[in-house]
Amino acid sequence: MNITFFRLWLREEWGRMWAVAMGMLFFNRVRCLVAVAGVAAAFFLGATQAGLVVGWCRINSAIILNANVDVWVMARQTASFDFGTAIPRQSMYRVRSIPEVRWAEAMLVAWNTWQRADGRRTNILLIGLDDSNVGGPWQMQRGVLEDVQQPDSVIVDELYADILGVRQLLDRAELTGRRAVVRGISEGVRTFTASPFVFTSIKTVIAADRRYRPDEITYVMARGTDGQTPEELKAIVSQALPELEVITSAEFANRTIAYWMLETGAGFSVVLTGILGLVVGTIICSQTLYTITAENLGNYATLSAIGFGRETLICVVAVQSLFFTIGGIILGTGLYSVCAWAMSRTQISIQMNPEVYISLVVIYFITGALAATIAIRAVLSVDPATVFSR
Amino acid sequence: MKTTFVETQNLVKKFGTAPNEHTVLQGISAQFYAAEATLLLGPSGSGKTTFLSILGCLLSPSSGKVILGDREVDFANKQELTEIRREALGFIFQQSQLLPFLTVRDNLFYSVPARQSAAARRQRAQDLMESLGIDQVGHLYPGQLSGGQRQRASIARAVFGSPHVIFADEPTAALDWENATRVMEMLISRVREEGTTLLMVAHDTRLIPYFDRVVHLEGGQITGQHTS
Repeated sequence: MNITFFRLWLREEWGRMWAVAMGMLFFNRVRCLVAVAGVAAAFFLGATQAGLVVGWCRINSAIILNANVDVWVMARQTASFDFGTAIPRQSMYRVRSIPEVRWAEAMLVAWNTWQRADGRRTNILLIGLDDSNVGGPWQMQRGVLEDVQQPDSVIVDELYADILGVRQLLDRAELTGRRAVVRGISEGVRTFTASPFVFTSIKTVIAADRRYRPDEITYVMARGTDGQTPEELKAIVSQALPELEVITSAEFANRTIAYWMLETGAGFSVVLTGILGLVVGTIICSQTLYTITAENLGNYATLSAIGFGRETLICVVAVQSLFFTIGGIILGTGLYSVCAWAMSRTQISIQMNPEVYISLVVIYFITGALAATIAIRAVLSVDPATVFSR
Repeated sequence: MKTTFVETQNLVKKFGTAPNEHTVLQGISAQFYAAEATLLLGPSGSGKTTFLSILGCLLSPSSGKVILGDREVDFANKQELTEIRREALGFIFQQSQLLPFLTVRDNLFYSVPARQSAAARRQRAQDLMESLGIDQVGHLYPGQLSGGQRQRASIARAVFGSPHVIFADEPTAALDWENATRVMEMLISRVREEGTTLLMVAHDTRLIPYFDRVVHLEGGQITGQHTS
């Protein structure tokens, strides 16, 4: 098809192609709406599953990435942030002594039991912060972060306040029999597990958990001097502390995400549901398109007989497929947005990033095109000579 | 002196393969003249519709030639066949075959490419509908029309693009005689006004007076013809 022909075709054929495509679709409005709703539901399902994955990835990496440090130093074979192994606090001083390190501090992460004032217990992950509170909550609703360094003080997140039995500042609880006073309430610190994060000082963690000696920590966080990339700093620190593992923040975030998403199988079920959504969308789209096409095969024969070319007929089906795909994506995105907004104040995080959304849209356009090919094959097999025998 | 517009030379059409091969047209050579209305008469199975389908560039012959105007039709070139149908031919079918999802007006409006302005085409559609007495139902869908109205709309669609030839396959077969005569009068009057060649297939010999020439087909061969 040369350009001149294409232009001619566009000018002369576009109008009637569009009229036929839309006329055929909207002649049965209910079926058309049901089809768009079906594709929208499938897109919504796929987007929600993708949103769950994105949300979970962000949850799993939030503390690591919000700490805004270059590298993390830890015991070898640490599977994820939540399962740190004790290392000597001396490691932090060794890191600080490296000329290329501008700043370094420790963190102690330990599983513990939270006992509410009413006696009920729940498992928590205690995050012990060092002097400058790096690695602490990034958004405070009530109280100030610095208060976490006061003896026996903790900060809990508003999303888990009910589980932890916290209503206001200065509420009290117990950490393995030791008093804990709520000095702050944060916002948006979710956990992937059922055990909420509770922020406190390293001293309080050690006081509450007898398994750790006073000179033990789980992580050293470090920032390099200006101009130093995280990878360069990682190489330097690794050389200085060969018995420990040194990884960048991005690597640690990815390792933690991979642990929860892949090793626990949680990600598999989400991805499977997402694929299911995609398959359902393709089936609905192709089934509807094929049904409409099959019902109109006689009309396609008439169109062919009165001089509608192959390209025009292909475009009729393609436009219908595009209509279902675009309509489904717009409606599905709307449904997804409402769902994500409704879930934003809960412990379940449904989030989206541009890359994932664009990928989803592209995938749905591809499935729409696949669905259209079946209908197009049916249209192209129509014999215009049959118009005289009907 | 009549000008030949459609010509066939030794047209053969076979269906199936040996030993179940069936020859429907057995070497038909015929000429149809510009602005002439011809009726193809013959019993069922005589090959009328097959002949019409080949002349209408809807079906390829097994052998033989079809010449439209001064151009031999290349049946191997599907795009050329589509262009011929779009540019030069009009069709009226037994069951009207209007597109059920477009209004009568839009069935006319979108039946040909937009060579003229939308206003000119709308005016042409309006004029045709008025002349065929269906201007009051232009906004309705074919399913909302009577059989006679549908066939008149079908005639309007066939002549809308000012084709050189109109092929009609028993357009009155599904109508009562009163409606059939009305439709025939309108069809003949339109093709005379437009100067179009008409080839129509029918069983009903009562329609003979409307035509300039009658061609009898039997057993895939022309068995006789006469002019009125």
